[in-house]
Amino acid sequence: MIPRQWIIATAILLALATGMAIYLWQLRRREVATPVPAAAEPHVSPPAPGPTENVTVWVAHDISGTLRGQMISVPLSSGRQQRAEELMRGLLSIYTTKNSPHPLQAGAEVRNVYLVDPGVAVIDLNSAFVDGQTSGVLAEELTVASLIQSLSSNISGITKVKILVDGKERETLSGHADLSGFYDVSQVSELAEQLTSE
Amino acid sequence: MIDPAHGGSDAGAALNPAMPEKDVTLAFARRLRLELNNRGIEAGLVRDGDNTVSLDQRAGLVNSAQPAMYISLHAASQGNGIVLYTAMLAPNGEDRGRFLNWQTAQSGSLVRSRWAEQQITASIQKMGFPLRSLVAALRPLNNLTVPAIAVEVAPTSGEVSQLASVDYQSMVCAALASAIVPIAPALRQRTVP
Repeated sequence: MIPRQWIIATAILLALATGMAIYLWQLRRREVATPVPAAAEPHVSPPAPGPTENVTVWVAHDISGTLRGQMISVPLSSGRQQRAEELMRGLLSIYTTKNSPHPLQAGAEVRNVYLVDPGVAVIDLNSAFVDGQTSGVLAEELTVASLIQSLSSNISGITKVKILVDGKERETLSGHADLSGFYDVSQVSELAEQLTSE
Repeated sequence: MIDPAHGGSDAGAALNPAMPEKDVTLAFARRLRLELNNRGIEAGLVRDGDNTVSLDQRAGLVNSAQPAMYISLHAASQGNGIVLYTAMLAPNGEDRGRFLNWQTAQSGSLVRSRWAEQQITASIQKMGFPLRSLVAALRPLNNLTVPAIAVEVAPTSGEVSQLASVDYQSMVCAALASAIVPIAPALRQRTVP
């Protein structure tokens, strides 16, 4: 003989299960009936123009073999990382324009700039950048000095810089300037001073 | 010791489609050896043909031979005249006796390298030839344990073909050799600062 309380408990459980099944069925019906909102359109327009700041970048001039300071306007950035990327973007825009003083081929880009504490910056160039680089000691030195001096003079605390190409180490920029090690910012400043004083 | 840069599978810069840098540097190196020999200074070449010599091999050869001075020769289509380079290093960075850091081996010789560069610069500028002096991250300069400079020669006329001209090669090499002669004894005896 089945005890009475077991029969009552089983009945309650069956009632609960039936109730939950009905509730779930209704939820599903409501979901199917509700129209799905259209997928959000991708953000294709550039960010709204915000405040900018003027910075000095060091631009290579092939004809005179010199570096010259040039003021450019870049978006005002709150962080060092973003500021570094904007600086490199601004510098590259000078080199890829028509009548550039130090022409780089179309498609030349700085893929990324990484600021690694303490004091190390990594500049990652793309292969189009180095493919279009004029081969020669002075021509390559101008490029390296321009990138490093522009970065280190505008971002405080950078003491060493490593240059990569497509995320990988490379022996030289285009057969001459050594990329196998880290550049010491104080020594590049010495070179930049020599290149600006001529 | 004179080192014509590049060679073999490493052509260097394409100064023009028919003029790889490796051929121009070899021509300049042979001419400079001749000019030095004519002035009573013995000079050898790191390569005397179109053979591949790696940067490490070049440094190894020079460090074994311990010449009074090392001169690396480059050529460029851009620029005007001669640019002299010394290693982009801090002088006297390390002194660990016989065991030197390969990447900064030049530190101990850098004072003598820069002294030699200054003397050559002063001498050639007196001749009125366009010349500049810079530091450079240019291997194998960093790896050498002897006074070392690099020389990049560019045309003064704006025409790359000038680099292949025997007259221009002779003029540049005679100027370099004349500037080296007075400093050679001090470099040989290691009596410079």
